Amino acid sequence: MGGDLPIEIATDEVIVRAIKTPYHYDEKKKRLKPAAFRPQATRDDVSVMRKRYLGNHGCKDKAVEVAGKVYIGLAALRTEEIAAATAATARVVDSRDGFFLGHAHIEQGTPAPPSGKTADPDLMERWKALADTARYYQDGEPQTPGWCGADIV
Amino acid sequence: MFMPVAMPVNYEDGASITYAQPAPQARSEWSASAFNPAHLSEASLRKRLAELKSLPAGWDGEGAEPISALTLQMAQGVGLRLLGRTFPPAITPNPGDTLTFEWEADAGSALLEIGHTTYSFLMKTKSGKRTTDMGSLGNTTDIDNLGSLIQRTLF
Repeated sequence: MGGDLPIEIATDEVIVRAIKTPYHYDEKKKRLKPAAFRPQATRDDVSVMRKRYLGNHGCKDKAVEVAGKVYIGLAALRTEEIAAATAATARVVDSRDGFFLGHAHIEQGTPAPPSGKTADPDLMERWKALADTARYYQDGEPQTPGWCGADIV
Repeated sequence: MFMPVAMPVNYEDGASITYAQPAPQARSEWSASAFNPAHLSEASLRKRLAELKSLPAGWDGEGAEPISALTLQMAQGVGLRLLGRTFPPAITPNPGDTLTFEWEADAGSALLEIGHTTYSFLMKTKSGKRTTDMGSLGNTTDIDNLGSLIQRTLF
């Protein structure tokens, strides 16, 4: 079935990020935080999913599988929006090998700083731009298999 | 007018550190201004940092590091300085043992990241003005100035 999903990612493809823990989402202001798109220390990428292959249900189920109880919802952007939000410094690459079919990374070009070091403001701006651009879908039933909300676009 | 004074801060784990702190009379001046005194709670700052202290490794589901005592100490020092200068921020942990103070307002937003020894700052207004800064947490004047800048620009 992997042959059905090309490695190349189209510019209008919907890319989905699992949102985990309250620290990725501000409940009071109803907005994603930059931390939702901040890589681990010294890494330049964050894991995402290709809705084209996984669909709404698959994205949700994979998010729960990976994140467990800290999963709270999904954030979506199109590939072209990721490029626009980061002045084309970030790109989405298929990374199925070692993960699962439908897995990808947003590679941001510049790694996050090492432990205890603060980030360059340009990086902070990119993470915030991604958070501001992404559409957030709160999961009303996070521990129920399958996606019960609106279509993720 | 703020008159910096040395103020020791003691922590539950026995550590202590001394920060310059706005004098009590200065805080009263601010309390009487447009600030909501309910927002200027040192207790709420300490409570929030205590919550973050308890985050386990992998708190973000992706292998994030716990927030160290050093980062919490630095954030508390910055937080105490900002209490009299601007509205309280949301405080968000980052995977690499730093914390970000976040302000969102109608006029724009500001991010102040606190690490072991340094800070990074980004502020953008809705009109498109962008302000950035990086520096040492040892330079308390810079922190004071950033607090005043945030308040003046965003609120």
